[in-house]
Amino acid sequence: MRDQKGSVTVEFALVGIPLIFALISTVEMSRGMWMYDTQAHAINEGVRYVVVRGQHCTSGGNACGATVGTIATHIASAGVGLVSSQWNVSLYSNSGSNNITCNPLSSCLSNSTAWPPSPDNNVGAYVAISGSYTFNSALGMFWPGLKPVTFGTYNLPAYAKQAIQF
Amino acid sequence: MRSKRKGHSVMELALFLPFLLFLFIGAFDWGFYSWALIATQSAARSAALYTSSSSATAADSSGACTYALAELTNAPNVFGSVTTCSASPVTVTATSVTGADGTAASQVSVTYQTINLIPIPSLLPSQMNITRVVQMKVQ
Repeated sequence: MRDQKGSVTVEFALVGIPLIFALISTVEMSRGMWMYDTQAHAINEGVRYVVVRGQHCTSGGNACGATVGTIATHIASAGVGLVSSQWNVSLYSNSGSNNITCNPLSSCLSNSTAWPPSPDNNVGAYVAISGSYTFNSALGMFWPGLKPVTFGTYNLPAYAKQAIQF
Repeated sequence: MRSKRKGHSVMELALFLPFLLFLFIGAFDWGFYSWALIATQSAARSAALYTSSSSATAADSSGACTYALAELTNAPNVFGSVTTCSASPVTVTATSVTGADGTAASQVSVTYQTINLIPIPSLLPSQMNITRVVQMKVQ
């Protein structure tokens, strides 16, 4: 009987290591997928925000046009739980000459430049936004050869593109 | 007694391991397939949003292609390699149709063929063809 008590501890030591590894991996993968999905949603929301604020927002007495700041704020508030200081976002215009890079997103929050400028805000012109979110994960601790044991960083991508509607 | 029980646990593990392996494969495959289903749906909707913007674009398959590919850009077999939508893995067709309300509409069909994954015989295929169709009223 005494012999068996010892073997339980040894067995747990053997099984416990892969068990804890599987547990932490599951949690971290889920957390990563959550962030990937949240970012995709936020980038999509950002594009949608721009495509309904095209050329007609600056004509006929309308003043509903978007600025880099309002777009960045809209993306940041749609990305619940994402930190805007570790989130790189780029805005791409139809002509390619009015692209804006927000590295990180927090640097664009108070940018009052109207975007996209004419003629990139014409109906039918495309608007694209890409994002890259830095995800700090405990998965990196298990990566062989990574010393000292530390959290790894992974970049989660997101991209959305739509044509201006209004 | 002791040696007998030790044998038991090894046997148990041997019996349980294939089940555990298939559980992992199933979760992995379904995870990717679910992602692909959502991405294909988004691609069709994004493309239809563009084609429905005017009667001139209602049947613009190549225009629809660029919007559909933008949504599928993170798929491993699309990223950086696919630029056209006339053959596998991505097929996009846009057509002018009459909508349910009798007015002009645009219909976009997107078919995405997933990468090869590990199959579970008779339960999960290694590859899936996903088709999503979206119809939108022409503005």
